[in-house]
Parts: sequence; structure tokens; C-alpha cells
Amino acid sequence: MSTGSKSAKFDRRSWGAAGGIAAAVVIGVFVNVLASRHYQRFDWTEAGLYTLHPTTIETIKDLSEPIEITVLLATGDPLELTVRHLLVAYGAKSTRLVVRFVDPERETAAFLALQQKHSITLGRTDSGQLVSDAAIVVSRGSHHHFIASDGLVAITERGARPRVELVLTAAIRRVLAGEAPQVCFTSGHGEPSLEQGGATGLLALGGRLEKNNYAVRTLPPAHTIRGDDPIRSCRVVVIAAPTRALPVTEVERLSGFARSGGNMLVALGPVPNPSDAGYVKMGVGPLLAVLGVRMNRDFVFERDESRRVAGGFGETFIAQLGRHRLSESLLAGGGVDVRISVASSIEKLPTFEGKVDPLLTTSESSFAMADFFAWAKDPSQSPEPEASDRRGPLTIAIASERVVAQEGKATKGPSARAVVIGSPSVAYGGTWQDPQWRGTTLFTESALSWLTAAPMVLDIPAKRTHAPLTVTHDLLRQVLLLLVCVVPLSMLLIGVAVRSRRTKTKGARRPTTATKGDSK
Amino acid sequence: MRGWWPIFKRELLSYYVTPLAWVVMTSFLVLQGMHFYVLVAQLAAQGSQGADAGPVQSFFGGTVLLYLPLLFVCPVLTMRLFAEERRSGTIEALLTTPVHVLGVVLGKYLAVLVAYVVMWLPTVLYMALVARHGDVQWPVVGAGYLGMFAVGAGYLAVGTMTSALTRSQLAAAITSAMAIIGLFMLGIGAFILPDGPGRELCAYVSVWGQMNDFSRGIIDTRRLVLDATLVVVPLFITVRAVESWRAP
Repeated sequence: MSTGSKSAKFDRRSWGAAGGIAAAVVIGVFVNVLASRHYQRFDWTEAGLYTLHPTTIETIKDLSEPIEITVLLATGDPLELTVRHLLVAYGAKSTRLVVRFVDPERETAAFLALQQKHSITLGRTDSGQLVSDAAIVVSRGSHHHFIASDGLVAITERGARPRVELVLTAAIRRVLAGEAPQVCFTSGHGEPSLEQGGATGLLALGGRLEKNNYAVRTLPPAHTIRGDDPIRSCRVVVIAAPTRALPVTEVERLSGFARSGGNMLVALGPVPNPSDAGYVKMGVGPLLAVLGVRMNRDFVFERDESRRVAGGFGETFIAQLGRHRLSESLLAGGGVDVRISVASSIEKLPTFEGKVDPLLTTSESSFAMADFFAWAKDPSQSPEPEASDRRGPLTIAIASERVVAQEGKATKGPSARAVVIGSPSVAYGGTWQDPQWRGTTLFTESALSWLTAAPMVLDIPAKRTHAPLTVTHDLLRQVLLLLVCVVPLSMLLIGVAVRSRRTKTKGARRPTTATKGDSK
Repeated sequence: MRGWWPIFKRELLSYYVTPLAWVVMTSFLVLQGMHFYVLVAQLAAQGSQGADAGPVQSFFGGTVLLYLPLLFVCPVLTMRLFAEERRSGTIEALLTTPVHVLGVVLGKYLAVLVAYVVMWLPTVLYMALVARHGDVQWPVVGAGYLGMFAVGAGYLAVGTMTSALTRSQLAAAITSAMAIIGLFMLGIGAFILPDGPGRELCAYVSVWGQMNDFSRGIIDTRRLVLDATLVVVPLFITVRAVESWRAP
């Protein structure tokens, strides 16, 4: 009877304990389920790298339809985790964002499908890392925006600075707005067409612009326009390598576009006339005057050996990049070689009220030959400057900004931008296909990016970052000596000291105990 | 809870008078020192780092070398807590003292937790060394240590529980190592499973995911709740187990 009572008591206790443990586990699971649904993320970085800017929150909080964000970064990519963390923060603010990570190395089939859908190209760096020309694709229905890997970081003098939030929010805004900014190329004056491949065509430039999320189109000549002029919908008009004079109607049309606040990229240089006795009069003077510059009818030769490209007489050379907002990123990473071939010099008009900054210049030893054709009759001699020639340094590309006067209003309107390059070489297909001209393509892309910049993304400031660790030989030696040897060895020595002290203490106690025992 | 302080002191002192503690600490520091050296050498080879991918971030969230020692150190630290007392019979004496079982468990657990923290303390030198050669964001460093503390607290609680459930130290160490490795491996599922609830569950318990967050200065409440659960539930089971040894 007594044994049975104990057994019953034991069973009750066992069941009680088991029940308590089960209840604790269930409560633990329940609490975690709740926590996974209602959570907070605190950003302890000093620059708030993972804290979303109010502009971003404003952009994503009231999305009316799903936005798909496909990240095509490999798992080992240095930016993959940054993007992942930031997208978690985006996801915490909106349930309309559908985020998908596709690793090009591991999820080959999924990547191939995306590659075909978006015409994404894939390459491998020297270090073996896979890179594609689109690191992130932001989509809303049929509207897509591509973000390249190099767009995710800004290279500054203090190292690489992530700007993932800036480009992601800009991309979301872009797909929400619908239409991509239009970059329009003039036609009908000997310009190469956007469909023309090869070394002198514009196919490569047009393709790159489309991948940079611009809608590229050809602008029909002014005399063919019936009804609304399509130039009105252009964010930027590009005049690339014309070889025939622009009619007055065309120049008036383009000047009107510029006066009304339109942005322009002009890339033209010296074009010999069919008789090779002089330059073609392009007739663009009035247009360039609106932009604040004059293009001289001369031919630039670079005589500085460190800038001349091997071969030729110095007509192909590496230009000096000037300080400007559009060249900041190019200069920050140690600068790039902007190659230019066959150029005319450019001068600012003294009467121009806007701002003109030189973007590309030549060296002091360069000169711009006024009478190129006299020298060209016998090009066996190296070109030497004459009294009538302009001496270096010469400006061969400028960026201008002017405030647009608004009709019927006392206040001034927004500023209009232009980049004028005294050489057509920046637009040619050969430039965009040859790795040696990479600096030139980066310069042109930066110019177009500056010309098409939408002010809406500028209110997300760049995040302050710390100087990266400079790993010197001295630091490596210190780490090896101090952290791998000295610190663990010290710990071992402390342990030995404690042990020996304890042994001594024990040894000292033993005889006392024995003596006591003996006396007893 | 009454009377936990003497137990805590006794446990902590007894820990540091055994050679085991110093051997564990020395091995741990050799491994972490080499881990840090490899990271710095790798950064030197790479040339430049992103704003959020420096040595601090790599140390706390970049490689498996941070976690591997933990999978073995935590079981070794906790294996003798109850198993040894039960084997030698001293647990009977301990349980006859007017100390609440919760006090016994917490005293022992806190002692081993402090030993764990002390084990990590020398690694602050790594950060100080980095600070001498570049900028260190100390709040991010703090987040990294908070992450390691939270992960370790969970693992130690699991170890405490397994020590209370067996009589043999070795069995306790093996059982807790298996439990901790199981938890760790579950987290790896987040990298290999296809999208779905399974992957979400694995990502939720993933120590990789946790340290990726904390090493970059992101404190996620979900991770802290999971770690707190991993502390509270095993300690609750430990209390129930120890209570069951007391005579009815």
C-alpha cells in the first residue's frame, strides 16, 4: 500500500515535470513565432548604413502594386550581404516588394532564364568572380530598371562607399514613373546611325545606354517633322559625329530645345571637306553659343610624350580630366585614361552668363593647328606650332550650366546642362569595343548620367564612412606575433602559475596535517 | 533564487584552478588569433574593403572559424557542472543546503557564462590593434560581441541541460556537442534549401544569419528572442531535472 502510494506520487511528479517541460517548449515556440512576425532591427553603425532614409520610406510605404527586385549577385560577392541587409530593411517597410536572389554560379538555370529575358551579359573578373552587367533588376510589370555592380558603390579617396539605397530607391522611382528618360540622337547630317555597328557606328553606344536604363531613339531631321516635334519628349539630345552641315532650321530647332531647358551632348570635331582643302562648316555656331562656347576650326596635336598614344603625330592622346561633379567618381579611384582622337579646341564665350567648366584639357606642350591642310600635304614631318596656332593647355571638352528664363515669370527656372566635346571619337563603336578606351566610355557615361540626372534622387545623402584599414606588413607582423603567439602564451603561463601555486599550497599544507596526526 | 552567489563563486573558482580552463582558453585564443591573422592577410591581398566589410565584420560574421571552436568549447565548459557532482555524490550535499534549485542552476550557469565572457575578453585586443591602423566603429564591435554573447549563452544553457541529464561528463559533452552542432547544421539549411517554410525556419535559427546581422551592427529582435528561448527553455528543463533528484 505504501509502495503503491509512492509509485503513484512518483508518476504524478514525472507527469508534472514532463507537462511543465512540454508547456515551456510550446511557450518558447509561440513566443518565437510572434517575434518573427513583429520584429525590430536596430542599426548600430555610426553612419546608419542600414537605416532607411525618409525619402526611401516615402517611396515604398504606399506602393499600389508589387515591385519585383531580382538580385543577381554571387554569394561570395562583397556587396551581396549589404544588399541583403538593406532589402530586409526595405521589406520591413513594405509588403509589396518581392525580393528574389539568384546566384549566377549556383542557380544557373534560373540565371539563364533571366539572362535571356533581359539580355544580360556575363563575364568573369581576373580573380575568377562572376560579374554581369546587371547586378539588380527592378521590375514593375513591363518596366525594368537595371543596376550594374559598379553602380552600387561610389569610389572615393577614402575607398569604396556603398550607395545601394540611393540606386535602389532611384530604380524603384524610375519603374514607378514608367517611362525611361529618352536620349535622342540627331540624324540626317551624316551622323552614324544607332543601328550601325562596326568601328564608326553608334550601335555599341546605343546598346550601352539602353542597359543604363535610357530609352534611345533617333530624332528625325527638322525638315521631315509634321505635327508635334518628338524632340519635346527628349531628356537629352545627342549630336554625335555629324559630317555634313546642319541646316539653319535644324540649328534653330536644337537651339530652341536648349533655350527651353533641354540638355545636350555635342560630340563633333574637325571634318575635312570633300576636296580636303578645309573643314566643313557645320553651322552649329549659334547652337554652341546658347551652350556658352565656341568650337575653333583647328586640329589638336598633343606633343607631351607621356600623353601621346604611340603611333601617329599626337592626334590621339590621353586628355587631362578636370574637376567637376561628373568626373568626381572617375578621379577618385586614381583617375582613368580618357583617350581622345582627332579633336578641335573649345573656348568659353566671354558674354555667356552661365557656368562653363573645362572637363578635358591637353598639356602645355600641345597646340591646335589652324591650317591643318597645309601640313597634311606633306605629313612626313612632325607637326610644329606656327604663330597662328593656339598653344596648350587647350580645352577640348566642357560642361556648361545655365539658368533657364521662364516665359512670363519674373523668377528664373531650372538650370539646363550641356556637355560639348570637341571630338566625335567618344561616340564611335570602336571606342566602346576596345578595352584600351575604357576610360573614354566611362567619361561619356558619366557625362550622360550627369545630363539625365533626375533631381528626385538627390535628397538621399551619401552615408558617411570610415577610412578602411590599411593592412601594412607591420600590422600583419604584429597580428602574428601578438595575437597568435603572445596572448595565448600569456594565458598558458598564467595557467601554469596558478597550477604551480596550487601545488605549492597543497604541499605546504600536507606536513602540517601529518604533524598534527603524529602528535595525536 | 536564494543562495546562488556562493555557488557561483565556488563554481567560478573551481573552474580556474583546473588546468582544463587554461588549456581551453589557450587553444581558443590560438585558434581565434590565427583566424584573425588569416582575415587580415586576406584583406591585405584584396587591397580595399567596402564600408561595411572590414576586419571587424569579417571576424564576427565572415567565416566558420568563429563558430567551430564554440561547438566544442561550450560542451567542454559545461560538461562537469552537474554530471561530475552526480558522479562524485556531492550533489546530495548541495541539495540538502537551504538553497533553491533555481539558485543552484543559475549559480552554476552564470559561473560558466562568466568564464565564457572571460575567454572572449582578450580578443578585444584584436579590435584595439585594428583601431591603431584604421577606423573602428565601436558600436559595431559591441554588436558583434553582443551576438557572440547571445549565441554562447544559448549553447551554454544547452550544455548545462545535458550535464544535468547524464551522470558522465563525457556523455554530457558529447550530447551537448551533438545538440549544438545540430542547431548549427540546421542553420546551414538556409543556404541549400529552396524557398519555402523549411528555408525560412532554417534562416530563423541560423547562427550564420545572426552573426551576419550583428557583425554589421544590426540588432535584430528576432535573433535575441531566439537566443533568450535557447537560454530559458534548457535552464527550465535543468531546474526540473535537478528538482527530481531531491528526495520527495
